[in-house]
Amino acid sequence: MTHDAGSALARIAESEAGPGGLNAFLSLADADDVQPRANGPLAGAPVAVKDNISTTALPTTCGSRLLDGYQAPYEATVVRKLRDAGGVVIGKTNLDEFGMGSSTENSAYGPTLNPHDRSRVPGGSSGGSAAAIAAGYTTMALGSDTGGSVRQPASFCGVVGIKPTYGRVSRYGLAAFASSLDQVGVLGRTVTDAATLLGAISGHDPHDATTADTPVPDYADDVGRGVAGMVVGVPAEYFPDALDPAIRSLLESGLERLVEAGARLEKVSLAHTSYAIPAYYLLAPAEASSNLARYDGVRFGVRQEGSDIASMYEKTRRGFGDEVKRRIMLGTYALSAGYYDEYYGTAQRARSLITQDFAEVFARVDVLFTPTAPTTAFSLGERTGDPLAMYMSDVFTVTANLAGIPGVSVPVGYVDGLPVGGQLLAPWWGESTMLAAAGAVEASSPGSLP
Amino acid sequence: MTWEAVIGIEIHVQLRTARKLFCGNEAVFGDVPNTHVCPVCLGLPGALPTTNPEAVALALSTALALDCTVHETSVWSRKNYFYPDLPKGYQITQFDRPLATDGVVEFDGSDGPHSVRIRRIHMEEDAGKSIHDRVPGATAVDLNRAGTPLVEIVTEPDLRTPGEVRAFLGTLKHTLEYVDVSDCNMEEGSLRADANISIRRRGVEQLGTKTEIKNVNSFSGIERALTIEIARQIKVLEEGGTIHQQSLLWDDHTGEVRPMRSKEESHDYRYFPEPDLPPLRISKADIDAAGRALPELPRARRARFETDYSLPAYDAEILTQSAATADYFERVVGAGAAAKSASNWVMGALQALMNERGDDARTVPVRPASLAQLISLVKDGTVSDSAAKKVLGFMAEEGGDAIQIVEAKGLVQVRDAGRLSEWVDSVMEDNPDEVARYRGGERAVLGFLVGQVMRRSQGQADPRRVNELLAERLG
Amino acid sequence: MSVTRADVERIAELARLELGEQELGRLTSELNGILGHIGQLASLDLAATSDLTPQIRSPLPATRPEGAEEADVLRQSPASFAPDWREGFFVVPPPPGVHREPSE
Ligand SMILES: [Mg+2]
Ligand SMILES: [Zn+2]
Repeated sequence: MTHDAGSALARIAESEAGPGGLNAFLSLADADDVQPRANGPLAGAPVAVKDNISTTALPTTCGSRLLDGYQAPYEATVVRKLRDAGGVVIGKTNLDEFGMGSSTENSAYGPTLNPHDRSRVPGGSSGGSAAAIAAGYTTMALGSDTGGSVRQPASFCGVVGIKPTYGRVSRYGLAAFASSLDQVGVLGRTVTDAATLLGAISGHDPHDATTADTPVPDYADDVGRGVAGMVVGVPAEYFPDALDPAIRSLLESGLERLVEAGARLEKVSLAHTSYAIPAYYLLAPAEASSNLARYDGVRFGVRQEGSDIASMYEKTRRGFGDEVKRRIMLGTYALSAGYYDEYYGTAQRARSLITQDFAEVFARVDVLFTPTAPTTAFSLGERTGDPLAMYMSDVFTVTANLAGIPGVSVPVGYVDGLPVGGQLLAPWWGESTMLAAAGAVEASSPGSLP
Repeated sequence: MTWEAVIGIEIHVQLRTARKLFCGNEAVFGDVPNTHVCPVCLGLPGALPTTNPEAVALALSTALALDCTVHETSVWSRKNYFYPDLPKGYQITQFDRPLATDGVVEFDGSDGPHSVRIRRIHMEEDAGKSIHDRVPGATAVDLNRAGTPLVEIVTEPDLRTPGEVRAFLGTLKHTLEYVDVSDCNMEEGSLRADANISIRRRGVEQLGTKTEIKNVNSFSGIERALTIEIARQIKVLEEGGTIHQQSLLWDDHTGEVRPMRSKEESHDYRYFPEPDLPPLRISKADIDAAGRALPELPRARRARFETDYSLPAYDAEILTQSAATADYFERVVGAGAAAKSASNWVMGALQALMNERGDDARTVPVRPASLAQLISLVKDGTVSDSAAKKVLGFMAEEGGDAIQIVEAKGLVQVRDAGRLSEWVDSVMEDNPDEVARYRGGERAVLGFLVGQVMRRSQGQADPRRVNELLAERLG
Repeated sequence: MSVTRADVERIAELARLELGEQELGRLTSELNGILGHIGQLASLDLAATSDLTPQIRSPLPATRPEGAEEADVLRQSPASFAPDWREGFFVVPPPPGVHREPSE
């Protein structure tokens, strides 16, 4: 694998152009514009960037018809940082519109295909980023994770995906879906790739009041630290009876290998886990309904003309896809007069119980090990007609967003030729320990890219 | 009259900050449209707010000046509604946990002292401006104002007449100017008021159904709008009708109050805590420090001027109209001038000079110590009153001490009997008719003769001594 | 917890979404399906809980640091991204009346 952005770009352009393309990219960098801006830890590495992160050289569509051709007049903090670290943005990757989805089928620009099986989804919403790495186009990519949108596609595509602690990475320039849950995440071919990119983009940003001034350790260095003496929690709620036995057995071998490497296992319980999906599907749509009000055709993006302002709004906003409309409706309802306490208030309280569960468990264990998703990549179209079934793909990942803790998905093997990811969760700012454990899982996992 | 009105007021005040509330753009008014905008105040995808500490400091002073309890933790919320000049589709404001609550404003109405309780004060961002007559058939939007900082002040329904409302707003404006948190320029919209109003029979405790008058941006406008609405409510009730809760718009041009269409009115703002901003935390120590740094407020200062300096109520009122003038006065007294003389000079000649120059007490180039010196020169008879006014003008234009100017310009008053006699004698010689008329009993002619002497001395003669001398010689 | 078609229409209007007849019907049943699932929150004992989010509880500075405002800049004029830009203004169709609701 070369680190040369120019040749990566040529390879992508060639592979994606034909009928065999994955539709992983929505735009590609100009071949004349791939010189690294600086020397740094990324050493000229090509980085794919999810298309909901503002770039000044390439459009930022968020996978939405409303932002067709939108060229942001400012650069996201994470893009600035990765370029300052010597990285090169080679293209913008496909996603579910505004990050809302778990399959990348909700893109106005068509679905992305899973390189392991082109009849299947790559997961989502950062499906383009995960597929680009799995296809060997690049070794690093930026995604965003609101309920599992980095980790679940990493699992479906057999790559590594990190959702950092809330406040670890700036959101300035990331088009908001649900502000209290969104976090820019990273995907990599290896844990070290992902950790290197995470190190480059982490840290306090004066433009994001929710970033913390916590020191940024050398994450790439943490990966090889080993797990001797580490206590790994195994939460019962993440291994339900209904879990696919093949997935369960891959996870169990992963645990055995962690023990061989010196870790100790402890069974734990996170009692309120089953409330995570209901709480998430109130809070995320509520925030989304407000965050997406700015797509009104007044100042930027695509407008559909109307005779008066009200009809202009409605005609313009008709361009949202079905899933986005569904969530705006759900969220508007949850916040509307008379329902706030019943829905939003209740969901916030449930969220605090979930957070408390983690705090108690992390007093006893260093990390938790769980499946990333309940299934392997499903078929294109399989769940598009059933929103609830789609929402259940996030059942093991939304808890980390609700609690604000970091999580990483690492490949642990294959079931019927499809990758399976294991998830490590750690307490707030526990990325170093989490990545050490992820490194140990990776080192011992049989598996290869397609 | 058997009816009594019950009125509460909500005032939006623009804070006088250099920058906007949540981004780095300058908060300026009247500049080229859409030139003070950025990703944040345009609500571009991905932009995030950060809170301007300068705005928080001014809001804090406002709350303390109105005697409010300031909360160490207040919470930003989003108020969601669609309007073209509201870039994000929501306004960042404070809802269930405002900055401050439970204040009070004392003011003087025409019938004596009153007080109004302040229910709450919160911070929020302003919207942009929609201009409906700029582009034919369309609305032009200027977002320079979008995101500039406001405080919203909400009173309890403690006001009873339009006149009281006007007096209260006058005191409020005066206080905000004193604390220097706002320009309070109503024409530029830096102070905007809404009023809630209901009526009830005198002696009845229960409140009637209220209406809300919006869009008032002048003191006279609010007085007129309330007078019209009170009359309307009385008429409706006396004719056996009922008042409907509704919002009314005041039109300053036509002088009319019209109901808003129900669609303009029916809002469901879907408030929820702003997830992009941590709560606003202000430490007890910072609140206390801001309280200590607060200037003395106009009413207290006026009272102190009356007692400490034995000034007439009129003088105390005029001098405390602006904090700068009051400060100036106190510095003149501090430099040794008698209070009443200092007051006369500051209210009179100095004020006239400032008006002429377009200065205020902060910018006028006459140091208070120099004015005090000039006052002492008048008092000991070194210069005449009229010469002193000229000296004041020279001090403003050319700088320098009162004594230097008096000497350099030859304005020292002549009281030497020899020189005075020369002038008196020559005037008597040149005006034999007047002298004769005076001696014939026409005493009023004396004034004319004094004037002639003053003219001959080019204003240098001490008029009191001239008077005495003339009376002596003519008698 | 369930919504009627009329509720859905009212919410769509609040959200400025224009929905077709078919969409209205489909969304009504979908929202009811989701709300049914969400209904299990009702069984939680929430007495001792907070309704503040975890990030809201973390000790972050309440105001921006000195100098942070300098970087809030547009690389291009709004003319480059505005759907309708005339004489330095964003231009939109007029509201139903000329008066806006003031002092929000
Ligand atoms: Mg307001
Ligand atoms: Zn701005």
